[in-house]
Amino acid sequence: MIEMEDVTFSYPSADPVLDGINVRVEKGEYLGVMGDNGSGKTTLVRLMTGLLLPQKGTIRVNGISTSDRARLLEIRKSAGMVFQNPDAQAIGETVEEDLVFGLENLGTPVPEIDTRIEKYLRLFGIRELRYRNVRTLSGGQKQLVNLAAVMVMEPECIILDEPVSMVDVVYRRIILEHIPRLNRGGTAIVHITHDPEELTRCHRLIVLSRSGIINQGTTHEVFSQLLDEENMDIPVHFAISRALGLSPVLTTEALLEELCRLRLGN
Amino acid sequence: MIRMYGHGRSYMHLLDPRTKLALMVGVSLLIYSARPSGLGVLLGFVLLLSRTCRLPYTRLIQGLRPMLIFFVVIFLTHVLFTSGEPLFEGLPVPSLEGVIVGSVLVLRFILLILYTSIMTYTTSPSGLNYALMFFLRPLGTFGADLAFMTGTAMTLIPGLFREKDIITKAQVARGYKPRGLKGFTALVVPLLLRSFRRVDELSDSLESRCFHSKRRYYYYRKTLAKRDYAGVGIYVVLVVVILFFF
Repeated sequence: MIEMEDVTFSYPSADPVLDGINVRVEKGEYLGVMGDNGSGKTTLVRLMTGLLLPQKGTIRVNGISTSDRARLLEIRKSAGMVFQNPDAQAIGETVEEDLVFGLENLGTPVPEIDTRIEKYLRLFGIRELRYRNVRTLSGGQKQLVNLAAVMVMEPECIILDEPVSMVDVVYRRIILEHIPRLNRGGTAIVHITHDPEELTRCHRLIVLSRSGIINQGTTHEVFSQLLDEENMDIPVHFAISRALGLSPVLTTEALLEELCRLRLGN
Repeated sequence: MIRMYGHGRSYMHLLDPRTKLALMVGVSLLIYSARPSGLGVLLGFVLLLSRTCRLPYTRLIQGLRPMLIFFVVIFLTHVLFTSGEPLFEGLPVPSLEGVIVGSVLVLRFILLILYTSIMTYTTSPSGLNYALMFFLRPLGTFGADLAFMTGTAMTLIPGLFREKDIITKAQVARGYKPRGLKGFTALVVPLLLRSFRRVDELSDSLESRCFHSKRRYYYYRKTLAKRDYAGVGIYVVLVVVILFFF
């Protein structure tokens, strides 16, 4: 779906942010990208959608190179983006208008627009917000609307750049529950964050640092390796289960299950 | 207040955006050509309109607050530079004529802002963009781009006011006094930086929502209905009453 080959990028008069990066996102995959501030996470996702162009290497989305500016629209149709700041993404004044905007860009027929708006407002549990002014919503509600506004265009892949870092705890949980659900519906997800707790449901992880990709593999593999390296940037459930000698797990439910199994075994 | 759309089902909400935009131009011309007594009628009309679309007077008046300095400057300019019968013996200014001319001009601006506020409160940005595109059709693609830029720029206005309030509070918390040139700089520089960042983020958002210059507004497109012709009729009556009876 997305292929980055030997990509190098630097901002003007600065050292390369990304140097010789190779990343593949398969159709229907849930890929997590984690890394500290300044490791190039946001640059990576901006490159993926052609918002930035690499100095070296190639990036293809569904076989279309992001440097082919005439076909950028096709890339954007395939890969939607949700950004960090919930306040800065609304284009329409009301929630409905915000959702309509993208669909009008795609030339979707009016009856289909109605169907999709209803479907996605329902999916994200924000039907009652349909006619509300976006500016009067809370940060979490805004981010749900942003997610709905991108998903309503039904892209094959959705790129989330720290989607819950500026959102309150309640909406953080709601949004994080929606993401794997969207993935189960067939949408490929690229989830960028510095918080490993957000990435427990990913299929695969990439860890970025200033020197490039320092680790990649399945979620279990990456977290195990980080733990072996005594790097504490891992989900707390994973650390507990390993410390207790249980099979490493990533969710509360799985940890409880393991604990019950342990108790029954004893 | 300008550019703060509120969804509703009032008569003004249901009018076609093209009608509202055309009436906006018409009412603006009327505001500038009416005599002072006619302005009173127009004020009554605007207040009535705001009531019918359930826009509270308090919110309507709040929209005037950012323009307060502008009103004071206009008023003082006329009071100080219009010659006429002096109000105080021995002093050439202020003159009675200056006070009257200044007050009337301020009232005209107030009416214009109040009417624009009602217009933007009852018209969604998409509707407004559609109307702008309709009237700018003769300009082709440039007209469409211009309409989109105007509409999008207008959606940024309330955000800028909010940013200004946040920066002012942040600067006050740091001990700045938002007065004088230093206070002005402490406000304007971060406001400009934030505005540029905001525009940058908005443009990323537009890109991610597949924006392209050939896009068309069609979801909110309406056909002119009886209520639109009635709206034009009300305007004609208003013109006749104000220009010939007041």
